[in-house]
Amino acid sequence: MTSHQISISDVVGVDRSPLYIHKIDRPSYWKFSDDFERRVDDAVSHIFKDSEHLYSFWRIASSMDLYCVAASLNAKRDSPEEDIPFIWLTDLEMGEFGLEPAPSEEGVCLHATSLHVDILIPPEQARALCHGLMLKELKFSEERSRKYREKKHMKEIVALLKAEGCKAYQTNLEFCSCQSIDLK
Amino acid sequence: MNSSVLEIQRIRTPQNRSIGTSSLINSEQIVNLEATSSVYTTRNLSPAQKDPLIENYFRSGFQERISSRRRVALRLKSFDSVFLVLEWSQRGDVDDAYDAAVDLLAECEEVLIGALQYLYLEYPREGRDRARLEIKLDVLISGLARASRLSCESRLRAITALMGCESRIVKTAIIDAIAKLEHKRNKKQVRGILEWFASPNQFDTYVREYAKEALEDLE
Repeated sequence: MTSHQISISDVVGVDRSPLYIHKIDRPSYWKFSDDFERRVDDAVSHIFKDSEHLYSFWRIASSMDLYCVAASLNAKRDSPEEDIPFIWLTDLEMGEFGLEPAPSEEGVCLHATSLHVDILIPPEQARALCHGLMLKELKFSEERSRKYREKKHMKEIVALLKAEGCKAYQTNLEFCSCQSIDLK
Repeated sequence: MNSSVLEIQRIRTPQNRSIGTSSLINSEQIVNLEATSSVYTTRNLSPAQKDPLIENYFRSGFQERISSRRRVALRLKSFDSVFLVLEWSQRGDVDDAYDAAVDLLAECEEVLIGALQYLYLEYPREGRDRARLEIKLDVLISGLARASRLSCESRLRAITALMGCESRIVKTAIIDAIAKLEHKRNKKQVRGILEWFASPNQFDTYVREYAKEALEDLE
């Protein structure tokens, strides 16, 4: 395995791992407006709209996790190199906002399946989460909405995992090489 | 006069619609909907409209979506069907509805350009429907940017015609779409458009920064 060029801080902006990411449709849905209250309301209505209030999050603690989660998320897309926008929060913040991750295997990369959790977030809690994260964003100048970028990150991630034999790209494989790779 | 002609006339009389805010845009960039009117049926939106094929697509798992995508897209011949896909893209009870809609629209052809133009002319300056329409424009722009059966030039022309839109959501969708359409023969044009979004002409700092990031990614 070659050494990794892309780190958690390259994609997330900071390295406060372990952290959790939740994929969103568009980066701008996190910042509809400069008006704080409207911004919170819009983020809640456009990001936390699942009818059962159950949301997918992925726990990331290493570059390997970062790569494999991206591969799994884009396995559903026509192009595996699409941008992946997401919001993030730390392990500690999970407790702070009263979120309880429940392990739930999902994804096609077999390493990534072990990183997936479901979290039940009713609307009021979603509002508190968005409000709290947006306040922290203002206070600490940390962008909570980031994205894996197609040209800067995804091309390399896809090239590397394809070469290694990740099940996200060859679904007929019995095993996924990502289960046995030890990345630095 | 049939309904098709009536609709085209309506589309060609935009009220107070300004899209010529930069020298990058001119009136010729408005899509000629007459060219597509004979092929595609016209808008007749009904709130109760349903299409089992589209519903099945969104209700199925991702492997099934991938295998049925082209077949479903071939049935999307009217503005109605495109608008129905946009409705589904917003559903909270469908997994990955946004991505599923974008990838489905990416398999479509000319109907996307007409639908985009129509939707933009419907775009209200105020009101509670505005946010919903912005999101739909976002989905449609994203789908059109990936619609490889259409020429890159026609997609670029249709998308840049919306550059005068004031919405942050629409502007960032345009920036991503333009960046995606970059290739070796239009590098200068794409860079010029992104530089316009990144310039002080843009009063929205979020849009400016978004465009700067897109510029960094150009190869």
